Amino acid sequence: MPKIELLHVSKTFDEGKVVANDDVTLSIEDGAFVFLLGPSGCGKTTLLKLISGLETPTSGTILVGGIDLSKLNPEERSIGFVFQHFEIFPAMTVFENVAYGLVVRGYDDETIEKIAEEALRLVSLEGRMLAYPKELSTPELQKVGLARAIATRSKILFLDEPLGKLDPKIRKVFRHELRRLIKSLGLTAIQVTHDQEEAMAIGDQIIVMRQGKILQHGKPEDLYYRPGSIFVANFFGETNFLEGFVSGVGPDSCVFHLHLGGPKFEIKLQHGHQLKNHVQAIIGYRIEDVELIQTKQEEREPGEELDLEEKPRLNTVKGRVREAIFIGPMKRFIIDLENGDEIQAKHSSKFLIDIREGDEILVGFHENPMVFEYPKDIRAELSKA
Amino acid sequence: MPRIALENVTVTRGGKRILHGFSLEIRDGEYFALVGETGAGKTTILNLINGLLAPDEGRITIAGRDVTRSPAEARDVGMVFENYALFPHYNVYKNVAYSHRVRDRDVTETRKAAREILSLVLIPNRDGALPKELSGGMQQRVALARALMCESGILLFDDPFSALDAGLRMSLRIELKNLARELGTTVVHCTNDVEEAMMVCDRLAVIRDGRIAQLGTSDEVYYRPSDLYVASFISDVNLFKCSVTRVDEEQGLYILTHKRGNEEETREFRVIAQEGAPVFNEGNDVLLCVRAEHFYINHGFRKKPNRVHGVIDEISFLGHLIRYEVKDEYGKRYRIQRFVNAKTRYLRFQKGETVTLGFHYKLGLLFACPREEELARFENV
Repeated sequence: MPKIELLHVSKTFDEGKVVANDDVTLSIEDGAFVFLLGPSGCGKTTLLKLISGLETPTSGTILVGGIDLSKLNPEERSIGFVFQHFEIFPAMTVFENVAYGLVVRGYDDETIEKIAEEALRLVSLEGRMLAYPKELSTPELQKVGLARAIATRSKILFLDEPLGKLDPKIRKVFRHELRRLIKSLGLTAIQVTHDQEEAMAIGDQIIVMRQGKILQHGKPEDLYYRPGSIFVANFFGETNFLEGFVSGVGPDSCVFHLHLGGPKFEIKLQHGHQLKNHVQAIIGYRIEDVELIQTKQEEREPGEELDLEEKPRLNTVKGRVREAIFIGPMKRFIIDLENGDEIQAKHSSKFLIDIREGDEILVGFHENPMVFEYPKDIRAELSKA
Repeated sequence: MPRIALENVTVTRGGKRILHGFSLEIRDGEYFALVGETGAGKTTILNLINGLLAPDEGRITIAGRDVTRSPAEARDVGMVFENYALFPHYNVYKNVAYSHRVRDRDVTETRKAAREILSLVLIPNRDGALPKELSGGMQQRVALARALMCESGILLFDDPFSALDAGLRMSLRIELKNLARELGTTVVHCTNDVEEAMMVCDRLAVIRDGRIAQLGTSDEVYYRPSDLYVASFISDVNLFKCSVTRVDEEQGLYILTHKRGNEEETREFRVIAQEGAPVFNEGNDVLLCVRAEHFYINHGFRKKPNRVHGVIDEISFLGHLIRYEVKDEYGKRYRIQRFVNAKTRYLRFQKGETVTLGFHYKLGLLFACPREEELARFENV
């Protein structure tokens, strides 16, 4: 029932001077777990307020379950909220905290008990019903917040950094529990986070917002492998962007020149691409896709790398390893290319064990990079702050 | 002489012992990371160094000088907090110049030093801006600049990046490390994120319940974790309770038997112990630990041991990593983490697919089998 649709929704403040949401059209399917991401000030909070009815759009229509939100009374548009700062009442037991919202709504005792116990069982807190918040661990407190939202019996759940207070280790386990719970209850959920990894790990879909607009909306793998813009490529995962210009642009390939007179890459293009010939362009490589090839043929440990039959051809540039950082399962390299560019590479520490700081190497770039037209303001696209 | 030393320090607060006989030496110009769970005592250690907290017992020295009882102002150690802790009503310049202003330093000198540091941390021409007008990343740079103005040459970071976006976090880590190295600053960096600690540090200490569980370089801690706690803290682990059936001392090879589900069926594992690892004898109960990133899926190991069969039960996509959860016929779950790049992108496994997991005999870790209570912290051993 609760499919959420936004049609040309805009929201402005200060008589149109501040545009929080700019012509947003969006559809979230019933039962989807969607992540909303973007830099602070991108309009994601306003968007959630619009969907929850806390704010009214300046223009456009919002439909929940096919019904215009403005025609629903507050009861019918009920949405459960889970926040990072869980705002648990310290003087109430776990049970009372969860039951509170039900008491306010005037349910009878028997119903309250049934719903609250059910909600606590779902988050595996049935054994802690009589405990007070100060006796609980952080993950348990987080679960009380979750149980309280579930107990509202809303079919839509909004979560704002619900795991923000947890240690990374616990967070990685708990996020799967959260997903299983949301899925088992068939809820339509929208979560805001600044943890891109979390969004990719448990989200069905991800919406990236910027300056009040939706930049891209898709499955995690679509955003990671087929980012529609430099901004999205930079926002998910880590990418080396190389600047240069293109020549010989055909329907499915071109030559990329890394700076004038610099190394040339033969690269493939998607069919239907819009790239013009002889223009400035940017190509992007995920840091895990950059290959490092030892030029000195010294004795190596037997490679444990998987041998795939078809090896894509590589464009190579000479480089020098400035830094090799060991990060447990991963090894990260910072490399100065011969043309002066700095790039990074990341590999499983099971491979490439013998590449060290100071080594002269060949850096391999595959033939299928992300290709972008040169943007008007490259610094704004790559800005991380 | 160590730059900073804590000698036999004990801190008790509200009847709870936070640090107990804690000793730590940090070298001059070193980038040192303290990594541990929330509540392990990391922030307490920082507060002992900067003078916000005095120990109940023990001694703290900075560059050989006993500072145990000297106040924070006298130590002048720079500090960067998770929430930046900038003075909200001061502009960028006043925030950065703060420590010099309270010390009545020469105005021209202060201005010069602040300029230099602001350009070093890449905050151009925002002197007049208030913190709230800046992005989170910029605020953290201001906090860093303010800390760098301290004259002790020591910087303490208390989880400085956790409020920032992933991309920014990553680039700031590298920037910070290079900056500290360039300036010769001694840094103590607290975090609960192992990856962050390993990325920035020269050496790190894993802190558990107010004690050092292990101290060493990233490499040492990763390849030779001192105990099960450290191993499971720095990686996702898969555990097998085994008994040693045979030891080939010449090769350092252990042949292990793991009992499955009904206790009658057994499985054999072969492991070559790492250098410096504890020694076990025939008949000993041991715990075999295989990290999530060391399991291969459907890789053609010729030899029979070190293999497990199961069905893919859960998949999570993390960009350059994919995590699988595999369930075997006895319900035991295995966590596997695979590195993914352009070459291996298309080698994917589907939910419900039957797979064979295997690990290299040099990549299994052996620990003495812990007591049941300790073991109970881990699921499906």
